[in-house]
Amino acid sequence: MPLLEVQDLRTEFRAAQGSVTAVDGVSFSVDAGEMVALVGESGCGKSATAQSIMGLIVPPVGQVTGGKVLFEGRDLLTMKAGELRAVRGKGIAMIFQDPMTSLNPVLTIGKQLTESLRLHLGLSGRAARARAVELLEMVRIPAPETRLSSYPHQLSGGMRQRVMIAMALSCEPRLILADEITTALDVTIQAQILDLLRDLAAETGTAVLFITHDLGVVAGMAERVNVMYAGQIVERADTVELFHRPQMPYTWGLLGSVPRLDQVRGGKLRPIAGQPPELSAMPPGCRFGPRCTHARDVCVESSPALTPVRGGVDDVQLTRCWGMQDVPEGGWLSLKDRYADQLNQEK
Amino acid sequence: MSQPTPAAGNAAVAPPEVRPLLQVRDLAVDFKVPTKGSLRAASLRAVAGVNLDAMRGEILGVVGESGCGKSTTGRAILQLLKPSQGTVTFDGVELTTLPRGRMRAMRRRMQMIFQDPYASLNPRMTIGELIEEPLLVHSGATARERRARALETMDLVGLNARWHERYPHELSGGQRQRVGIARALVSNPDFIVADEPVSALDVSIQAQIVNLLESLQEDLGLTILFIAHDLAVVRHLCDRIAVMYLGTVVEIGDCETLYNQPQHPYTQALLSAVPIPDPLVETERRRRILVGDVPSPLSPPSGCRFRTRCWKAQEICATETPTLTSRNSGHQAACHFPETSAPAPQPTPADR
Repeated sequence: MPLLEVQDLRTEFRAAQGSVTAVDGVSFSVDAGEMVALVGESGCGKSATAQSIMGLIVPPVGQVTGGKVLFEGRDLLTMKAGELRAVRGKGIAMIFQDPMTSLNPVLTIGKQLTESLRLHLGLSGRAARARAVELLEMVRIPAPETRLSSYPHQLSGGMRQRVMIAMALSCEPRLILADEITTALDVTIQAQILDLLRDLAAETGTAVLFITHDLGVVAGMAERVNVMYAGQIVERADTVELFHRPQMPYTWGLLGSVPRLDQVRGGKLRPIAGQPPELSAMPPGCRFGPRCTHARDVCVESSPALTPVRGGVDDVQLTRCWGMQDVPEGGWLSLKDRYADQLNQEK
Repeated sequence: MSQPTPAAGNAAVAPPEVRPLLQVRDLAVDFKVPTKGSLRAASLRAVAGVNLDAMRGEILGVVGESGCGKSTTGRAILQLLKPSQGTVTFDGVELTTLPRGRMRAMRRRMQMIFQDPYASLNPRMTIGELIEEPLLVHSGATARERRARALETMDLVGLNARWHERYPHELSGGQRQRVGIARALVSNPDFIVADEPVSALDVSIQAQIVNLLESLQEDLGLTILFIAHDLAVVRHLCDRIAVMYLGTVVEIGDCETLYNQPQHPYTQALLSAVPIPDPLVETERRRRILVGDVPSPLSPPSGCRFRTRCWKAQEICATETPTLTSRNSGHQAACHFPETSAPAPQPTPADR
């Protein structure tokens, strides 16, 4: 049984013109101790997915309208508030992009760290303080005792993110949701934080659902990757497969758009034409169809499902693309087309 | 605070007969910041003695992390901020002492592209008005001429003419940045400071804008100072690169040399911190992880400003400020212990 299994999750937000579906039938799983990435551009629904898992989307702003979120076999969506509180912290912890907005500015780091230790683990004041020092040491914060009396604004962005990681790890959760945790940080600080999270997750055996827009970060962190586009997962694969044998034209486009530091200059980038659809005006059929250079009539007429790639093993590599599917009306695409695209663009 | 001008070093970069379009010498910018327990404001030196040359028709990248002074340098070059020291010579004219009127005339030739085009576009003006606005200031063109020139520029940056009567909120982020670029180009400048022009955009849109800037540079022969924190974008786009740390340029050189043989320890650490979107490469890479954070510019370290985080630092680094020195052609580093034969990061077989 996977540690976390999300099944057909659907989340709607209220908008001026009624409601929009930000997460539309998302299914994936995370095994114990595994690092899984959810990657996509702004507005693809990756953060909304994480917030739905944590039960952070509540009316009137939005609402989870369908699906299941099974954590160790129990559905978080139907849990009572008290049970859910027990799962948060000890079962699942979350780290956000901007630690400044998730830390309380008027409480010291020590106060905020010991609070959750006392609440979730029932530690005494002294024991909680000792554990807090230990946690700050674990996230490699120098002079941890003195840091306990610091306020969030006295710390740098990187230090604050370390405190957030310490808080997330404080109750020894089985799963951490890391939502764009390095996006606001400089690249050398990002390297420190990623290094830290990778080490700590391996040491403690904590699973991580890593949410990011940065393909470079994904390549160095995750074992499996889910690519999201317009509220749906459009491709899922092992990390090496995804980067070296991507199956979906959207993934081809993403990879073609990113310049690589290790590549000699020359040749233009290969951007995807146009822009993602508005949530309130989803195109019929394949949602990537209007931007896809390989689209055919079937792509406009009906929506492809997320299915195993040709010759692939169930649930290892999946793609949501008619061109790549082994059905009578589909299957006209292969990886050769990706290379042909590249050659055409370079000419 | 003053650094000697490395005239000899620059000779290696520029053949003597080629005069750079832009010469920045010993540029410093100070900001006043309030201090606790004192009525007197403290002075924060955000840019501390920057030397740069931009050749006609090149894209010069300026990279560095938040607070390194890269944007401040860009603004001070355009005289949008008053430098407290140093000179900025543009096409033979010294700008820091130029009277206001003449500076305004000069601005037609020196334009800026901003990171967040939405914040720099007046929401009550149409796209057409926004693009024509610089012409009101910089030319005596008639309304009809302005309109024609605006439409021509829109075409140049890939904006459909039907957007002419529309408003900024109707555009996507990528299209807004095209408006920002059109505003910069409409007065037909020869020099552009582009301050993080693609940082706010998603990768697929970012690639569109990078390609646009690249072809505009080629077609119009523009000289661009490209300020960014994304080293991969900079490598892709720029001819030469200056690396900044805490208000100073620590290394400058042509793109390939700098990426393959970085001499300054900070450049090495910075390059090794950039993730590469290839899991096979990532597992093989060894990272140089820097310890600690950038020190406060209110009390920068003595001597070399990077020494507090440098693994090579010795006593001399605290006492003597290293200056930009050329050790091989087309490349200067400000370090007492530069890597002279750095093992080049192996370029992987390109799988593009």
